Amino acid sequence: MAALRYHLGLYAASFRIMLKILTQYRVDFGIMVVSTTIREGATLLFLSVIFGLIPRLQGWSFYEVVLVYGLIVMVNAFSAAFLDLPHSVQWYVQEGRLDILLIRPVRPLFQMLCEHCFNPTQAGGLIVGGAIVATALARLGLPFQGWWLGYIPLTVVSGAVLVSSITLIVACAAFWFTSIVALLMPLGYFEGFAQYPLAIYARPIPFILTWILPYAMTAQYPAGLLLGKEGYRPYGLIAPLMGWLFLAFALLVWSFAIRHYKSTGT
Amino acid sequence: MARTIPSSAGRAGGPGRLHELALRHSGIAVTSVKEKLIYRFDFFLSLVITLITMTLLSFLWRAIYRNATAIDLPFQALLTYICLGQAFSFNRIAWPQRRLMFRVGGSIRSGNIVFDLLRPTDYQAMQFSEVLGLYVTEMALINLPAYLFALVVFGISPPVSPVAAAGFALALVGAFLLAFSLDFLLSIIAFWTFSAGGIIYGKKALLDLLAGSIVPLTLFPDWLRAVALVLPFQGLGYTPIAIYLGQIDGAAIWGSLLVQLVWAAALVLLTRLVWLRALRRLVVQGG
Repeated sequence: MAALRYHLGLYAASFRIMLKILTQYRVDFGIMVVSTTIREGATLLFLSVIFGLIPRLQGWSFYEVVLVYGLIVMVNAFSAAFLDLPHSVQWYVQEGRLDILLIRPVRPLFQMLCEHCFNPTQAGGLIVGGAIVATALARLGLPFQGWWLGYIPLTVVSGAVLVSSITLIVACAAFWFTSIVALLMPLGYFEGFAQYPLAIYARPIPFILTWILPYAMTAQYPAGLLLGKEGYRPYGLIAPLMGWLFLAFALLVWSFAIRHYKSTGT
Repeated sequence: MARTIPSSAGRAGGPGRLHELALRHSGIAVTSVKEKLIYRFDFFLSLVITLITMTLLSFLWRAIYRNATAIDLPFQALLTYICLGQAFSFNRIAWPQRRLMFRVGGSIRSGNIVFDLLRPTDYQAMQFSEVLGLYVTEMALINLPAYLFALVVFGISPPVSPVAAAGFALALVGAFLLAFSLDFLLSIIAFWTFSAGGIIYGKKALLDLLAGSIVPLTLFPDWLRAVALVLPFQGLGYTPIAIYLGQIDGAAIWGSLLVQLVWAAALVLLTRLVWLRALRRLVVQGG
């Protein structure tokens, strides 16, 4: 209990420091909001062009696909704003900064979490994504249900944990290879597959998206549950658990990988 | 510290000068390639990303055609179009784009840009040669292998005629000129921000669509096609691919190449002006 309070205190302190640093970068925040809006706007426009050609995509209507997309935006924004440590693992290793973390009396991974506790330039995506989700739900004319208020935030948080955990597992390769940017980037592109109904893909892909790199668990299955899509209900119910499962796995991989750390000595 | 960039126009001209210039810039291009070939792994993964996206889009479009009642474009032409859009993309987040974004922005922030500015070569021209080298490498290591992959695995069509093939190649050169100016312009914006990444992704999403590389411009709703056709971005995707497919043919090829070239020239001029302005405002700390 005391340990928990100690760690929460550290996290809160990092958060305060982070906010002080970040007030310096107001221009950044503006640029980030503009570029996020452009990005989500362009993707929605792309979807609307597609649905100008067809009424439904394998049984999914425009706003149903938009709902999936809105959830993806929220999940990725949460992950990038609060849990963006996996992408910096390689810099800690390459620049030898892990040395500093290792001599402190707190677990290195927790210190890294503290050092990346908040990035407000990414938090804008939560609002944009939330607006997309709300619009989609309203346009679909689904009667509002109370459990959404618990389920949607829960899936967003555990979806973000899932995305960050997958990235962390891959990022552990940094202990063996020097440049892993190129390993991490394809993940983001593969995640794009989960944006569209799984039924459009050939055989191994839906399985991979469900169990191996379960990006469909972050948004598509939860959306299917909200929409009452056939066959989506059981997956939608286990989806919020998947993130924590993968977190446990990521922690195992991490504790194995960090034993292979060789300081650069600089 | 404000300084003007060293002007190459001030020195003696003549053919000897031109030869020297060509030698110098080919040297810069080759060096940037050698430098990046160390990161062969990155090129390989850029190829992987291209193939992933190509596969995703081919599944998506297959499903769209299954669900559509009538689309004017035959599926074979569409598939060829989409695969070419990925194989010959000027809008990746790969070395040529990242390099400008992080190098120009980063060296201004760190102040290291003074060392580049002190060199007896125009800074922008130097960046141009480096990026040209990278694009040529990308053509050999990513674009052509991805194209061959699409030919073999997806069974896309070859160019409709030798003229179309030649027009396609010319349009790729024009597309490169456009891409360089656009990236340089964005990298200047990146001076003021630490979130260059966000800008790159925003730009990619917008340009993928407006270049017509993920949806052919011909399938756009009328209003959006009108918008895309007055903007320069069509030159990055639609122009070369439509020439390849014979959607633009005969004299119209020259017309669209001209449009591309005029846009490229206008953007080079604009970039130049913005760059000179930015330099005048540049403050480098003494370290």
